[in-house]
Amino acid sequence: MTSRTRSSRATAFGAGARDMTPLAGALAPLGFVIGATAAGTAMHPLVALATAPLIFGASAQLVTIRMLDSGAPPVLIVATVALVGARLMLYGAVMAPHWQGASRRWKLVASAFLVEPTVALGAARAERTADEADHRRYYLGAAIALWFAWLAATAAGLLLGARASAIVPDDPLRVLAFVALAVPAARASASGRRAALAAAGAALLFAGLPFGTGMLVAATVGVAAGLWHDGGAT
Amino acid sequence: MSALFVVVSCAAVTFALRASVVVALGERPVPATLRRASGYILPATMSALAAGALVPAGGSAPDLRLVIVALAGTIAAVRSRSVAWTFLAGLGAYGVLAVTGV
Repeated sequence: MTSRTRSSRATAFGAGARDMTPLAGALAPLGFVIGATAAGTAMHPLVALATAPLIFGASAQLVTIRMLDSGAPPVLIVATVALVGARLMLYGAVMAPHWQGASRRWKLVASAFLVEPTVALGAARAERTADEADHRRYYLGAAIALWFAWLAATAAGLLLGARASAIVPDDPLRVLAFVALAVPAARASASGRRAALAAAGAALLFAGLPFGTGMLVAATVGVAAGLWHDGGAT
Repeated sequence: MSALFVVVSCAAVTFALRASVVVALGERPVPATLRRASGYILPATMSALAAGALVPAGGSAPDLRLVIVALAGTIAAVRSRSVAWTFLAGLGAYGVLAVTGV
């Protein structure tokens, strides 16, 4: 391997990490709140921290922590996480055409980091360059930078969560974390807004259902409302 | 069943969702209905969770203070598109409510 090749690899990897830094900074409060939320539950701190590197997704982590804390059955928790994470398949569909030349092992490793910011940066880089090795290294640089930042933010929330809770109770933080995730997703289209409003209304209506099943029903109502509105609009 | 097992199971599910299309279906198109539906799953689920979190444990009606916090956060999120401003606005509203004794 020549020094120029090594330099090129390091440059692409570093560029990915560098481009991810502002995004990771913007998402850090969310990771902190997830950690603080977990600190307010009966979960073991290390188990709560493990959600960050293993699940690596704000919505799925929040669902897992909240449902574990409410005593929901494990099957229901996993099913809800599958529902929440279904969109991850689409991220795979976005990146798959760009990774066709990669080995199966590389694809498996890279897949573990598929979230909104890594897909956004990785797909944009892939469309700018024909050098597949370059944009794959760029993707990994961005992904690993976000992974470490997310882990650090969650750990900080866990460590400082008890002190934060003394100033601000968990309830408003938890509500705001869901709002911070819901609004950007809902504002993408009129049907998305319809889905969000229908789901919120249904969640209030079915709040009394046991084991968090009301949330699952509400989410289903919301998706149906979005599809119905989408079908009517097209 | 331990919490760690549940977390690992959830991690396995999310990894399977991420990797399945890349490894197995990478060259085939995603079914149109699934593609459309998946666009609504995140807003619907997060809104449902946010609305559900407005109702105190064991209660049947939303907590007015949390509703105001959520509204402040939503307005800030819509206007600023910033996670940080969402939290600042919501927590600011919560602080005002706490100081005024509402």
